[in-house]
Amino acid sequence: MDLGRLNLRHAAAGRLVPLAAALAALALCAALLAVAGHDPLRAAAVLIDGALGSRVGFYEVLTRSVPLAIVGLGITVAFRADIYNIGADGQAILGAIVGVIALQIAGNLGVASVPWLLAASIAGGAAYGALAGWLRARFDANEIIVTIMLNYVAIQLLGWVVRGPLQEDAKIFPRSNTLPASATLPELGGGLHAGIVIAVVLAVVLHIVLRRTVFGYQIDAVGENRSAAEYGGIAVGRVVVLAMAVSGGLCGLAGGIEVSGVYQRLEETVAPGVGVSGIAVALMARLNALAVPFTALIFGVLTVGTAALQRQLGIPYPMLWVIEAAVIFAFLLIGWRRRGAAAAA
Amino acid sequence: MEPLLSLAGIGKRFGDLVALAGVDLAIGAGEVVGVLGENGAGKSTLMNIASGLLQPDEGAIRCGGRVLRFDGPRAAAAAGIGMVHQHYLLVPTLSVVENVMLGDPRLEAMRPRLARHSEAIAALARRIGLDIDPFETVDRLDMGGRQRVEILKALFRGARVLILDEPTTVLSERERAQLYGVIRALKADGVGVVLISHKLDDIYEVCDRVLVLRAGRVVDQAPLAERSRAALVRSMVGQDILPGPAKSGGAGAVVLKVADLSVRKDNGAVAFGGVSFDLRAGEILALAGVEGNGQEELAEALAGLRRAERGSIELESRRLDRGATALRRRMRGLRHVPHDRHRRGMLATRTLAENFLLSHWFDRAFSRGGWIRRGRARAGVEDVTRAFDLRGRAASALGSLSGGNQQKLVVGREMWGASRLLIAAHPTRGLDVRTVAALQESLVRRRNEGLAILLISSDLAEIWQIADRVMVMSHGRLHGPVAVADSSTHQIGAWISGA
Repeated sequence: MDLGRLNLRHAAAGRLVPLAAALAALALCAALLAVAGHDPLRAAAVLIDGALGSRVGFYEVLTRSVPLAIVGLGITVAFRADIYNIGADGQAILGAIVGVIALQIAGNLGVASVPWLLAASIAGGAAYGALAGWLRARFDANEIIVTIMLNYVAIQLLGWVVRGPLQEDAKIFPRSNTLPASATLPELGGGLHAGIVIAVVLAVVLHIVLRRTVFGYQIDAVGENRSAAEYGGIAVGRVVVLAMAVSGGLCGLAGGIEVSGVYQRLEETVAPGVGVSGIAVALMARLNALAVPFTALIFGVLTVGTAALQRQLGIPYPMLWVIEAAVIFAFLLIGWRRRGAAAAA
Repeated sequence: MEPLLSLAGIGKRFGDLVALAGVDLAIGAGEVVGVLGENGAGKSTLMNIASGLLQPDEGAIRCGGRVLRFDGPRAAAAAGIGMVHQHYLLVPTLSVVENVMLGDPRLEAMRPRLARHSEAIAALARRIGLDIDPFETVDRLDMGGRQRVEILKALFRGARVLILDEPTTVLSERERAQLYGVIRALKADGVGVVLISHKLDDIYEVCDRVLVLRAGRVVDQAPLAERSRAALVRSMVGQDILPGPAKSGGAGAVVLKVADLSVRKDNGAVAFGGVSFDLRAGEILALAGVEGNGQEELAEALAGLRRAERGSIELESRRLDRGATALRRRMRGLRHVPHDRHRRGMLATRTLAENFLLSHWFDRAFSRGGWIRRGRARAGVEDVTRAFDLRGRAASALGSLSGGNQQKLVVGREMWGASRLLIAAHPTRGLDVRTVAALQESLVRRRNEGLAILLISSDLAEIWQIADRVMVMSHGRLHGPVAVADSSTHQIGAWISGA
């Protein structure tokens, strides 16, 4: 076992760990609110009412949950292979950019527009993820650092394309033209787009792939013990690259769905912080694909609810990031403790 | 004269296993005592007791006339006993001085005055003829250099008795000569040295007295001048063992042909060179020898897990080139019980069924069209469970089982359906007597059915019981193979100890 590395996978293996992490995060946030002079119980009531108290709020929760769920699935694949993909933001941005470019090149494809855009998004994210995987497999480059760096590259690239080649015809704002109506995801009503169906179907498909196929077995074997996987004849490098391609492809798809379903154009804010949220979502789901839509929903509630907190109580929106960070941190702490126990055994 | 350290009537057991019984050992000032014995004879246990890492169940430790009870290595170090382990315990990114001072009570401050200590360390090194730069970082030193740092560390803390555990295993010829020089200088300085080894060359080079351990008991103890090499080998390996029954009628076609093979270790040193042998169908060829002499590297090179520097390997008359990955070799019928079960052979938090799949996932019986057939894997685990009396369910995590049961799963998985070639490193290690017998019988049965088996073992009794031919790897060279029936345990013991 590589003791020098994070051990989120082992932390995620414990059945009660997500509950403990959630409680720890809740306690931390309640304490922060109390210190700031707010009543934590009242804040909780406002948060839940804002997210679930109205039809509008609930649809907003579902819409917010879609990218969280799909990115969470992408993170699940990478983490199961013991690859810490911190580059979901960059991969989502690449997906959004490549999707929009592909659409511009192809022109109006009618009903094929949405599938074409999303396929291009998957390809863009997959290539970006595979690049990090290849650097890991070929040069043993630390994928955490590589994916973080690639995030910055993607952000700069996005900033440039929306001010340069892809900027709207009016040349006023840093954003692209609005997509043609044929390229927007169908609406299910109340502003909720069809991406939610994609997310749920993907969760089921990915669950089957991970549990029932040779590829899923190889991912788990490589994630558990690379030396043993190699001994068993598994091409470890190939699995690392493929797992990162699938992970990046899913994140890219999330970017494409945001463009097609929510923004209807390319903007600089297409994927604000989905990477970190996706990690929290995947860990809370204990890297179980079927559980990811549900934990995504929890974070969707938190996202919409903290917006209500800001509006009604003046509690700053970044409280959401504190919650996410507390969850990830709780997993890290538990992983560290377990690693200590394993090393002592 | 009062000895510096004396152990009297030391006994130690681990569960049912008697590791040591009634062992006496005394080391006087300026005396070099060699402790000789096969793997598992109890040498390391005895030295771990002397250095405070283990507590004896029986017996007394006397140091300078007083009876002591070491409750840890610190207590032993305070009494003047230092130990240099086979695996060095150094921080590679720190300098020699920093490593020597690490954990030393004289290092009072966060920023020690290293310059002052370094002069003291350099002076000590010069006095005993050690050649070392105190400010060199440890990761720039070769194995001999690291060993010298360990020796310095022990001496700088005031060790009057120095225990060296297999010190020459990782050293080159030149470094070995340097180590002998250091030991002679220590002897002249009045330090008592215990040298644990199974190499007769080491013993004859520097020791005054020798103590031979076999199965946890002292079987011989005498001044070295009174013992011939042949006599020492005889007491080390014991009485000649009669070869076991049930030899197959005759071996079949050559399954594995190795010619002039050379392989390097992870650290770049040559593991072995110019190794050639044939292995036939229906034959058990044993590879004996002390561990760390290239056996693991040979097994990995054969299994496609390590690149060969030179030479060729042929599997059923087809040469294995660079494109012959571990997977291709497995698909052509190679099975492999690895040396290091935890590192290579196990997915610890995964189920028994998933661990069974590790060497069968590519087989059409266990996956079709990219889909894993988990039901088949569970059935496979049940086969292994029945054959080797494995205690554990297909759905429990392999890491939660006892070491013996883990070993049964790994061996059983590799034996399952094996029909061509099995490379088995220490397959019976850690198993209880009954399972050992069952496994050996099963190896012989498979041999009779035509399986070619390369049995890597350091247990001569086991080799004599079931192998047809035996060869020995030592000092990076291969001796043999010879037919077990035509050779003696003395001859093999002599090859192993380099006599």
